[in-house]
Amino acid sequence: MTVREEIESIYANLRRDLSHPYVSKYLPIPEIDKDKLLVYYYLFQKRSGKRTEVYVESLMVAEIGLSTHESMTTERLNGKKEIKKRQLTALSGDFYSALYYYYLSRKKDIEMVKWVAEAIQTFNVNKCLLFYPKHTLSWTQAVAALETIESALVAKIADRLGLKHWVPFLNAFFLGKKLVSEYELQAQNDSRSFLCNYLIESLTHDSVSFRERLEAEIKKTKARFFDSIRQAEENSGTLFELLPYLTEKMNAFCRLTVEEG
Amino acid sequence: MTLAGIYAEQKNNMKAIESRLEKALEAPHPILHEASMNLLRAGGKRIRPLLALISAQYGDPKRPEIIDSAATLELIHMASLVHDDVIDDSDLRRGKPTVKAQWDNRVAMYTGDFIFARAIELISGFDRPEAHRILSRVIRDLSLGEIDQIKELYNWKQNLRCYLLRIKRKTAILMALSCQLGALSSGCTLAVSRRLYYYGYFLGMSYQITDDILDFVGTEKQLGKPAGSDLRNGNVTLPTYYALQKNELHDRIVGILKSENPSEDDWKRVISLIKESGAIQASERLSDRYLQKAKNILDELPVKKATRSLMEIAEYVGKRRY
Repeated sequence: MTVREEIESIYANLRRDLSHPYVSKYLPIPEIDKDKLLVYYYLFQKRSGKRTEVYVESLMVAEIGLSTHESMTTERLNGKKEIKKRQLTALSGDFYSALYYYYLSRKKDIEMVKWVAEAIQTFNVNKCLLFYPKHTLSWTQAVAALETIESALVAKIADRLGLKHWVPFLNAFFLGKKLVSEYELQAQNDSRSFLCNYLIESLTHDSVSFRERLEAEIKKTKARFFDSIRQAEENSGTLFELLPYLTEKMNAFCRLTVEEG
Repeated sequence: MTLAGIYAEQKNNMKAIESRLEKALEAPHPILHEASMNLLRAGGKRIRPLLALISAQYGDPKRPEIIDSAATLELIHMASLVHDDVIDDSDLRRGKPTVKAQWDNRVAMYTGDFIFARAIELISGFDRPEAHRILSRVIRDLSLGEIDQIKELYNWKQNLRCYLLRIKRKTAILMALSCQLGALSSGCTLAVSRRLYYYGYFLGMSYQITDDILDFVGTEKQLGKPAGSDLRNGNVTLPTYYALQKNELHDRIVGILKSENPSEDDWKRVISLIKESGAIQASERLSDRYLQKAKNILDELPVKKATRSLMEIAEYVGKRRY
């Protein structure tokens, strides 16, 4: 099987595992982050070189469990259908989170279970830190929390698999991706951009506009990404399969926003 | 021995579990920490850890992983309660504000996920693949059971099997697992741990049916929520199912339940109809049958103090009124 075929097979398995017949009536099948899927694929390839489907699927369902709970709404609802959607958002997130433990225990890899559980804690602590801070966070603190959130799981796994030199560019890549997505949502005044709403409020009295800040942060993150890629290559010359993909994606993100926007 | 006597006998172990829970719920964020600690302080019967401790007496009860297993079970239960309150939109639990009421749904999601991850981290120290295989399956089935419950809400035509499968996944399998995991942590034989699983399963079925009966016959003060809450949320439990089997009542009950906005008087009327239909007594009979099955399993276990304690717990479940 070629790499492409393997990735497609994992993607198809995930689509199958994530589609619960009843939940699908009310909620769309969760989005599968193909960038994360590819990164996990190469992480586990580097680790063992063997077939890695179960590991990639386990990590992806854990990621999807967390992002499903991210779409939880807080306002009071009255419509039965809306209430049901909220109930299923909570429960399907629980179901996806349960699956990673289920898959990994069948692989008898309890050490990996522990790493994922630790990363999920980091994710939730940083979510609270970002959205329910004790004191208003500075821009730098907010971006740092966001960076931890976006790559909590993937950075932990890279580190534990002995690929610590991957962590800086993975952090920068997924932060960059998130910032660009926030930039686009903000440009469309989309209320789903919870981060924008939060940060705009905390920057009300700032002379620099939110959009300008975001642009500057995206440029900074892009520079950091390429810098960490160079350093990672010096540490290990074995990144070449993943690099062209990630660098092209990073360039594409930035073309879509800062450089052409 | 009485139930109080069993708790007293396990006092040191229960204290060790509380302290393990407290440590596990420490969080490096004030809201997460407070939300988790409030749950811990709200207490509860800690029936799952107790079952694990007693089951561990069939092996070596001094093994350190027993306390971790018992604490894990309680953490899983706690995490599910936090999310349940979002699902049921409940503002009160045991008379105290829920996490979602005190903060909001997002905090409740983060708290539940955090506690669940803590539970998994705690049990990851247990080096027995069989235990992880069983536990992970139960956790997956718990969430599938909850999805099923949502699916069957307001389904007044559902059958008995559907209800029983739901309560199995909702409650009984976690009690079964409590016994099995306690036994496996103590290193006892697979045959004994399997019997204990079935004891916990039958006990859990009876326990949930009793809960569903109490939802009708308990007072608001005892329940910490209005009587008939399950029904008000569209959840068809055993008493409602039995009442709906009576032709002369079916249309009257469904008529009220299907009305656009039932008044408080409507709810009182429908609860009365169910209570007076004989459905409570029929539910009690089924609960007793499960309890008897649990007791029968005990006959297959070695005659020892732990077996007598499990018998006492079964007696308690049969008699409990809140």
